Amino acid sequence: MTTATVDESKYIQRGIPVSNGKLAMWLFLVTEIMFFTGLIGTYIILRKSTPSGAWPEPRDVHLSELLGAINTFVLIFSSFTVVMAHSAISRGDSKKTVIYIAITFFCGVLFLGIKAYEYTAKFQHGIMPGRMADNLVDPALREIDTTLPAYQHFDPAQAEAKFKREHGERPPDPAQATAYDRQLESVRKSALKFKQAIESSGRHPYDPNVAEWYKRDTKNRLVEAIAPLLDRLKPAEESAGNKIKAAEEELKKADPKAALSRERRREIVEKERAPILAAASEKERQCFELYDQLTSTDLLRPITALEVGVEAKELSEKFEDLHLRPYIPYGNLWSSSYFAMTGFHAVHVLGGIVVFGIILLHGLRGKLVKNPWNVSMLELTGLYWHFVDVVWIFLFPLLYLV
Amino acid sequence: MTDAHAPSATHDAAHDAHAHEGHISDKTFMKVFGGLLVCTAMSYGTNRFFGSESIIHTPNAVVNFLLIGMIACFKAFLVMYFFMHLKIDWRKVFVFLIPICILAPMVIIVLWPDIVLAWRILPETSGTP
Repeated sequence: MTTATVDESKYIQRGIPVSNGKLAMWLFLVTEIMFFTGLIGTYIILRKSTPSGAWPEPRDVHLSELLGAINTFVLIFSSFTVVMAHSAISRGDSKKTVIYIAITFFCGVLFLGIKAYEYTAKFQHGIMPGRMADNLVDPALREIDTTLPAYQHFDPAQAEAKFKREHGERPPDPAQATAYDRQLESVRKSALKFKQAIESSGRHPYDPNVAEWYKRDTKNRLVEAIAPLLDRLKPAEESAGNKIKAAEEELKKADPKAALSRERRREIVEKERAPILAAASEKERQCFELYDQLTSTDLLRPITALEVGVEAKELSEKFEDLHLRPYIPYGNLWSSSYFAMTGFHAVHVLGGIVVFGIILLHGLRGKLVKNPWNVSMLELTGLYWHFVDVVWIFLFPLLYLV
Repeated sequence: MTDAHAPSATHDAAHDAHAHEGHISDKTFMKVFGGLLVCTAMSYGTNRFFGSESIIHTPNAVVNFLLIGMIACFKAFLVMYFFMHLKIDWRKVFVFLIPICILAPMVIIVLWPDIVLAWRILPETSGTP
């Protein structure tokens, strides 16, 4: 009987006792963790550096907690189907493996579909990095008397007084009182947020060009929203113009230097518009009010970009189908962080979908049989997919909840 | 005859496929999945109670953050321990994960004093920096 020499390489374990593939995947995941740590850590730091309560809330930036929760469920479910696929292929059940992979693939596609829908809503409201008007606070504003009616948005006490003027005192009925309290709290918080934004605005350089651009952009969006009303108002505007001209000519007969007063002109215009505006919907009337303030030359002073922003925000909250660009303090910081984090996450999801698509094709061709290669491939792809899920587990509460 | 010293593609792939010191059953995976769903619902519910639009008018940002943060960490633990097989592989891969558990919070800790706690003089409101 011959004896072979002992092959010691079979018994000496060099390095970490994992396969090369698993080692490579874990090293890759560790680098990805640091990548997302940079993004998420930056978001946390930037958010905590803003005054308390000034950071945009989910409803300010059209974030739906429900959609975020659905996306969380979709990813968790897909993580579950991946481990079930791995378990199935370990047992040699190719058919179930293919089914689970297909479900995972479609969950990934659904996640990206929901994300695309959310992004579309953001773009429609002008919520994009560097495109949000969050520096509309003219330093000169701080010197203006804040007891003027126009600035009641920025003082919680005045905002509360305005609310009570419009809605009356707290109703005795408990159900109505709850709704009343909730609305009043919302008005107070909103005013406080703007007040804090004004007070901290020294860190945000005011650019008059941005302010003018914002006013023009809002005007264009309003024109789009109330185009039919503006068409209906054209005859009234023409009639008002003729009456003003006639009145001025009448005045000039007595005194060539006389001119019609601003108040009188406003009176004539409003009288002509009144019947058409009375027949219009509330949305059209309120949008037209803002449009008039943006375009009229008969106001005591031009409306500031900040006031436009505040009005636009109130209109956007009241009429959800209105695509205005509201004033959102720290909006650019928020949107940069949001799109960076969710965008890179979505790219990672897309990468996972591509790999699962390839595995699914293999499976549909009957090549996904139990062998060490396929089992390991599914395990490693699953590791990547679970990591994507873990990232979303942290992103969802940070962006949508707290 | 194959060379026993030559690295084999199937050897590496077989290494983990057969080296199961432990095994996680499908039933466990289903329980973990159920647990994750419950935790997600709890996060959502916590935000409805303590978030800025609290349905019972008791918003508390700190409590909200702590509770939701703890739930998120627990969910991440469940996914990593069971789905990512750290229950089996922890002793093999902890050498990668421990350093990043230290480095990741450090990114935030290092920047915190300079950006979050920096003195800011707010005109008209604050007399102290």
